[in-house]
Amino acid sequence: MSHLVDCQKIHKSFGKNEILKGIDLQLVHKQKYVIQGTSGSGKSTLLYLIGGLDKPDSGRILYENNDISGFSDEKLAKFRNKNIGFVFQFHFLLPSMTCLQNTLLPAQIAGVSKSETKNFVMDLARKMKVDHVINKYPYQLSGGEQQRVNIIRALSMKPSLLLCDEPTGNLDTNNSKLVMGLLEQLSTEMNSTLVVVTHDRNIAERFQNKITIEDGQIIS
Amino acid sequence: MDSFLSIFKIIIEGKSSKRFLFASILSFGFSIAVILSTIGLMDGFEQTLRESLKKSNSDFVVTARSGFFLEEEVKKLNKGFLIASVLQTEAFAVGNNRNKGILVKGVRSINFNQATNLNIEFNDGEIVIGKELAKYFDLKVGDFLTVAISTNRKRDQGTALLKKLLISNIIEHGIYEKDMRVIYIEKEKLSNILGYKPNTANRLLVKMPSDQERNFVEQELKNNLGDEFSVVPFWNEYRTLIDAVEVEKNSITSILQIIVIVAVFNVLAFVIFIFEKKSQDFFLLRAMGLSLKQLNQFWIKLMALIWLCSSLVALFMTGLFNFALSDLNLLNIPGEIYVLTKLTLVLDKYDYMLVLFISLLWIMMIGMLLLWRMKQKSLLSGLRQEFR
Repeated sequence: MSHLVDCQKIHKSFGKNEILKGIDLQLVHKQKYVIQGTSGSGKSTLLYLIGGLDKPDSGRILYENNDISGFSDEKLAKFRNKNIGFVFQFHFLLPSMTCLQNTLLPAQIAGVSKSETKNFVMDLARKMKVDHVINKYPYQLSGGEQQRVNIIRALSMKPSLLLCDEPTGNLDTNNSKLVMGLLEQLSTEMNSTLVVVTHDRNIAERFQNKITIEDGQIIS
Repeated sequence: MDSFLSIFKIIIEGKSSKRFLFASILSFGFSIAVILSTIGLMDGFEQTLRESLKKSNSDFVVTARSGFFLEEEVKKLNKGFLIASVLQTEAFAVGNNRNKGILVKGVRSINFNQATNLNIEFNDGEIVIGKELAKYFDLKVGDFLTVAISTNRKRDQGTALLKKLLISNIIEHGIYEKDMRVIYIEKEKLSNILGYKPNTANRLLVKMPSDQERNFVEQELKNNLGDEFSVVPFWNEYRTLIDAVEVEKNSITSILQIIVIVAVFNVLAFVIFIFEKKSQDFFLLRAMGLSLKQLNQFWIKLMALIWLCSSLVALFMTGLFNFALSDLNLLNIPGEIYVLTKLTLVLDKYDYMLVLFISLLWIMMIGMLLLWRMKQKSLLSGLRQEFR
């Protein structure tokens, strides 16, 4: 089985606080993972490092056998744009733009034709059942709808790796189930590898591949 | 992201951001306008003063070291020059229960008008007076002005001779002092009143050919006239003032940099405000693939845009000030203090380039400072800090 991501002895500190202590982790193409652990265990930091938002202090992160920890800022930015979709706990839709404009931002950053991406985004919006609000501003949407728009934005560039940091942390039970179901369904349809960070056991139970982090180390 | 407007739209979202940006541009524009106006005012003062002096003094003023000279003594001058001999004396103008110390200039109008840019025309016994003097005594063409003048005649010595003279014209020199204190009369008439020979003069105005170099002509005049005569350029009368204005211009421009610094702090405050308020958006854009290089380019373009808008505001304000200065009574300068009766801003392209370039330098320094701060913060720490 080929590895999409191969983390080798990752160390990361913030000041004197060592967050990750020699993490080794492999993620396989098209698989779905959950990273669980207590607050402050280092699960979000690991997720962001895998997504190229920062570089490890030591160790290597190989993405399809390319060491992204050695990439320049510009190369890393392009890598994120092309390969990674992020879904954050808070929706972070830009209030000055409509939901559609928000979902087209990654394409706009990449310089990809808007009309081409728009068709794809509208398809996703129909699947996510937010096509009727896509031209509205984020403040006009419910929390669940905003998170679904956030997922559309994360998927708009057809990423091979979808990273979600507590995607349901701000939602009620029904919306949590709906969002998780859509994430699983769409990542399968798009052949994306899905990694979800959560401390919610009910969410974690949905995944076969469970990674548990405790005090900066993978314990299972 | 290739669209500057998209990020710009994000950062100015919200009334407070728009108002802050507007106020920053306005204050920065105002500070640039203050410096431009100051330089323009000083340059305008110097240029207008020089032009006005040239208008009434021609190119060179020649005086005899002994005081008076006969016109035959200066005939040795090259024929290429236009010359006008002047006999001038001090006197008092009286009337309407007021009096004023004046300078009576005896001129031959044809020669005088050719050598200067004034238009003196009168008949025998008539006079031409300055605009401010006419205002002071409430006189108009056709009125009489009484002049108390001392003479050289033995029979009149010790007493002032009162002459009632008809005003044939009222002129403007552009210099308050001259408009208030100079009157013109036919030279032969003044010689006669004073009891001098008709060919006596105490001043010679020389207009040089336009194709010749000033220093060369000045030296040639000195060589031709010898040590008995003094040759000075037309602005010599106000040389000290012109020198003072030059020094003042440089000093004030330096001091006014404080205003620019204050305005720069306003822009800095705006940029910090945006940086703090919108950092979540910036980090999000970066997470989605916006590189530092693209962000740098946006930031530089934003600074350049603020500078461009401020410069346009400054040019508008400077134009408005110039209009008010030259066309509105409200801002008419008091001539008795500022020598000139009217003043406009004079700014050449180098003045604009210097002021606008310095302001661009200031604003780019701010941009670089903020970029440096942004680079200090890693994307991960930014996201974690801003998104919680």
